[in-house]
Amino acid sequence: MFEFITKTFAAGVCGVATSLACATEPVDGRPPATDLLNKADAYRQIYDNSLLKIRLVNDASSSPDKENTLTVLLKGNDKALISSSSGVSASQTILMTEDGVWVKLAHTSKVIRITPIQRLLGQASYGDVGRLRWVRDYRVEYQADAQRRIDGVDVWALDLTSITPHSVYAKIALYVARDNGRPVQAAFYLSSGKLFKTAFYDKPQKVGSRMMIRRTKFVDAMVGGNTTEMIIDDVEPRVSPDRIFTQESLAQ
Amino acid sequence: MKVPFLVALMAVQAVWAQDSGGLHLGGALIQTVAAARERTKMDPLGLTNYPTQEETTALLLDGSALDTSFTYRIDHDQQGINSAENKSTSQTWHSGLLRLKKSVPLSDRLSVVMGKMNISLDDAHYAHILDFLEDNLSGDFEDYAGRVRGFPLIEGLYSGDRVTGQLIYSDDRSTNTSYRFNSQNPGYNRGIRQWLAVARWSGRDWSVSAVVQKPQDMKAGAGISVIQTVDEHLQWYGSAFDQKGSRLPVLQEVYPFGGKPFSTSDILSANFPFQVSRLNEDRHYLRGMLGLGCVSEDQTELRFEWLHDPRGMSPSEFKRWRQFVAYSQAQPSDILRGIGLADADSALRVRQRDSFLLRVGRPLGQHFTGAITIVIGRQGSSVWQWRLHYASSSSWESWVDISHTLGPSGTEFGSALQAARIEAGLRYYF
Repeated sequence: MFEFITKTFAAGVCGVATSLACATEPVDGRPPATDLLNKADAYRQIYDNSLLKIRLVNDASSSPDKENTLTVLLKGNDKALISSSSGVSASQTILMTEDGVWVKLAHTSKVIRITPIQRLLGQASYGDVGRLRWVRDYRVEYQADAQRRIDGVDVWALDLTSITPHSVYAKIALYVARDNGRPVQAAFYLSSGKLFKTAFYDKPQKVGSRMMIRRTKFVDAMVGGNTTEMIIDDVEPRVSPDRIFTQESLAQ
Repeated sequence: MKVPFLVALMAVQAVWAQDSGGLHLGGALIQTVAAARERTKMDPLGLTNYPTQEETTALLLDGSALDTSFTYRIDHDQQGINSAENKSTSQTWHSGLLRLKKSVPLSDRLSVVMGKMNISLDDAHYAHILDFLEDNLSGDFEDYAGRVRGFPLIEGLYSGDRVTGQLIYSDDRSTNTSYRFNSQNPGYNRGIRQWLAVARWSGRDWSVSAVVQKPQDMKAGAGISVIQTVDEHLQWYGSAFDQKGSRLPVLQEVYPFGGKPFSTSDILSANFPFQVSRLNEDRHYLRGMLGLGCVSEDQTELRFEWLHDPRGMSPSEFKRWRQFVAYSQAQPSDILRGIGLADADSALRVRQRDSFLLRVGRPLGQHFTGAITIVIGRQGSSVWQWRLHYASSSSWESWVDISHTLGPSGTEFGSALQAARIEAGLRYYF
């Protein structure tokens, strides 16, 4: 009996050790995919709790829409409050938590709970603005053809599969630079398998002591290749009280 | 007259549409034009005075500073009535505070909110059950026309991670509710004092709320609201509320309890329209709704809502209503016929016992959104609303609404006074 327990314990320890080794040691020169995703996330959200000023610029030639200015409060990985402060959607506010998404309509105090597929910010989805970290929402693995070259940059090709039932995107094909892990390009797919949009990430810029991607171009695959640029004009650490991330506060 | 008015508004825009010392001022200029066609058979004397033409220019001023925000409306309304018996026009100016909010945080979890505001307590888009603090102005869910007014209230709010609690006291007695045929108060929630206690639990994909409401002049009622997001496309939601008595009055001629047979003296009653209060009835009125919303990947939205409200007319009461219409139509005197029919028409403004709403909407290209909303009532009669919305730039949007009824004479919507209406609107933001 004692021998059985000892062997089982030893096997368990070896198993854990092997798993840890797999998680931290590169295999065939590849870093662990999760590490790459963490690095990519770190370029998109540099502070756990922050206030961002974002501009969405629609480049569609047929569109007279110029800009939509957003204020985004982020708290950790799963809470975001997105307020539109310009144009026809002025005073529209979107609350994202791990439990769901709510929107306060632009002209009224009405707050409605919406489905993840609904788009409310023109060509950019609220998820593009309010979910800047993927690591908790997606399982990541290398694509079969993992080493690619995109726009002159050597990249790792990753597949992200949603592990939360109602993510905005069911799958993301993410390409991160091999030298520093910054995201270069991402293709977003719906649960039907349709390509929804493609994101092109600009080179990161220095913000304080950190590097951050401040400019992302989204090309819509569903609506004739329209493009929207998401520009982060300002970011600062900001710890917001929990009470503002509730449906009732949204109505206020 | 409109030109100097608009110039003045633009001047206000130039001065105020800017940030200044932490005070943010902005707003919107709204112009709406509407025309309606009425079934004069239901109001041969034109007693209801419902406008057949209406033109409104409104200025909304929004301001916010720190934890305070407000919306103030100034409007000029021009109405015209063009019926066989009544031809007139009128012009009026209105101004008033639509919303005012002052939030006072007491701790990370507790706050007090006071002012004049609307609080939505259910998840319905159209068939609201828990509408005690809402202005349900039909057909304008997004309130493009900027007409929704808040309720004066003070609220204590607890915000937990998953559980929130609200204790609300509202005193709206200062609001004038003497609207003709209650047209501005379809939920009969205005002009009263009320207490509300609300508890809400939000979990992954679920929200459940419990509500207790105590009006000044009725027994307390209790209700519940539930919503579930089934997947990324689909939601269902429902609400129910039970209370003894009803705020909605009823025509004596169709009243189920003790309603006496109508007579000529009833029609000539000074208490016009001849309504019976049900505020202190001992009878329970349990109302409820169920809704389903679905959004496809191309953003087509399909919404279905079923409303059951026993405060509306039952089939037997509707039969009595039709008898009353026939009785009134048979009156030899024009005045008796006119009063009786206008009285009967007012009964149709009280929401019906069962109704179904179907809405289909979808983006049409980059800037247009189209939607059809159908409300199906008794005997298959229906109201159709067609909406085309155009958001042409970051600073203005416009819309056209066409609504009309379908159904033979004698059915619920086939008898409604308003047979068709068209409204065009423009909203410019500054």
